[in-house]
Amino acid sequence: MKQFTATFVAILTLVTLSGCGEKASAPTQGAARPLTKITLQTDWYSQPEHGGFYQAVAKGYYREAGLDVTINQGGPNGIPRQKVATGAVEFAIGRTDELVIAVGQGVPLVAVGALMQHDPQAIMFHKDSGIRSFKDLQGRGMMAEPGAAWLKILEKTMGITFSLMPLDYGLSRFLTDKKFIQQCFITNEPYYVRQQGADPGTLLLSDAGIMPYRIWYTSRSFLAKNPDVVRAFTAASIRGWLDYIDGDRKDADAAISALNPKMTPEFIAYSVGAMRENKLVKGDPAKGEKVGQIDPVRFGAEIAQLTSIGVLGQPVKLADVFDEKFLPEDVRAKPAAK
Amino acid sequence: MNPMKRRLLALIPPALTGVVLIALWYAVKRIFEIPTFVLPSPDEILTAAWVERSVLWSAMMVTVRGALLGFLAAVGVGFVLAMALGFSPRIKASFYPYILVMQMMPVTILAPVFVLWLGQGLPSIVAITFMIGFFPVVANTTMGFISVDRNLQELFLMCKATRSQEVRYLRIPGAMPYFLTGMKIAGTLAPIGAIVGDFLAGGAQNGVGGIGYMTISYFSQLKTPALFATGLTACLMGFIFVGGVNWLHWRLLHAWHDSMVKKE
Repeated sequence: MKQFTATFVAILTLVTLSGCGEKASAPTQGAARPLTKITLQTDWYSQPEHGGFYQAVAKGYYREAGLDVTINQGGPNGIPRQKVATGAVEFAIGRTDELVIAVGQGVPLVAVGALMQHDPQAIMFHKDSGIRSFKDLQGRGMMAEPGAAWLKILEKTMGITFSLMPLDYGLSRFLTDKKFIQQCFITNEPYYVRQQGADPGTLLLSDAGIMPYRIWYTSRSFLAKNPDVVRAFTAASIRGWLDYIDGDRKDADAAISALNPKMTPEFIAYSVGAMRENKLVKGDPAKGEKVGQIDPVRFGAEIAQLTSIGVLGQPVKLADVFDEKFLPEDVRAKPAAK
Repeated sequence: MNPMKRRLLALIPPALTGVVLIALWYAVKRIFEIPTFVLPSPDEILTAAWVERSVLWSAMMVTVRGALLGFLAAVGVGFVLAMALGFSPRIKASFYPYILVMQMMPVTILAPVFVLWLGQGLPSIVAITFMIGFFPVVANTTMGFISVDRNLQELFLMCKATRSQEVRYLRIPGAMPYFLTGMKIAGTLAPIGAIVGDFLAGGAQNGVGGIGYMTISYFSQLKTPALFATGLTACLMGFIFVGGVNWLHWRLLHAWHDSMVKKE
């Protein structure tokens, strides 16, 4: 067994070095089933917006599913898509629009499940700046993520053009300039600027018809070789998210705060409250939305939108970016809703 | 062998190296099956450069503007500062340590501060370029001002030259080669400074910013060939910029300075 492990590790190293292999193996059969090692790369530093995954680790849901999951914190240089595509990690989280753009550049990634039915991304401004709707943003300066698809959608569908400055992930300019506008998460930045005495207003991008899911995804090759691992990871993550939003978050929150001390209990309470209030994670039950669900019809419409604004390098079909069969059956969108 | 032929022959080794490097590039990509988003092939990069030509051209123009203004500020302020420092040892002793502090302060840390003070865009980019470029000008020019030929200085003294005459006819021309060396270094640093400045403090009107901004944008869209094409554009800009500065250097020195006079 030891020799087998050594050989396996050697092969694994070779494959990883070649930059296009897989690290995890399918769980072997037998009584003492070893756990499959999985790494999830998040898109940012540890925060409540990743809560469900920490919950699944803390409550042992991944272990029950035969997985030993490590969560890698992201940050400005986290490059999650590149890491998944090169096989450095098995899963990462992000938005559907980013995924579709990557696939349009020939990067083989597949969406598996959604951690958020609605994107918390919004535009934040000072309330006394006179901004009431998206139209009021015309011609203003805004700090946002360069190259983001939603900027182009606002420009093409609403005719709004911005003078852009790259996101510095800070709030100092917002706090010193009453006219400043920047991209934000409604679950995040408004809390901090309010603490500093500012009175922020927000416009949710979803209100402008920009409807990406926040998802976890894997690479095409990992999916092909480890379908059971992908299925197990997906089911356990959904369980974690259901539990995080409604259940006892204590251990997960402790893990989040330990990794990122900025995450105080007050902030986490605010952030989870905002996720609940805006139905970000669970979606709207009246529309049949559920934790984890990715509706092929809605995703298809998003791909059509991205195609029409011309941000895709090569045409992308739904089947290139999403495979519904890895979602538990009761989570999938009902054909009636399609 | 005629000079024309010799010049052509001299082109062969670098051209050969280029061919070998490009062949190696293709071979590595093919053998290790490296996907395009990790390493694009040279033809993919050239195609991306062609497709993105109008964006890259405007990005280059934005960056050139920042580099040029930052460079002029570095050279102008640097020269005046050096003159003050070279004027008296006491001034030099009082101010030089603080100039060193300014030089040691990493510009990446200063960038957010500039943005806070000067706003995003050109003023901050120029400030960052200035910060990167001014020190070599100050250091070299100061050296030039204080290392005037003792014999010439005594000659001026004997002729009862006034202080301003000494500065005008002795110190400034004497410092010129030093100043121009500093200027040359500032010239190679200015394009880099402007790109860094653009990366940290730049903006974009209608999605088109300078070279630094486009780098972030292409990277976030996983347009790796366009990213490499941006690198190529930056290279081209750097060569043009440095070429210009070298020409200026030659123009100002070739008529009289030893380093430029052809040996018989």
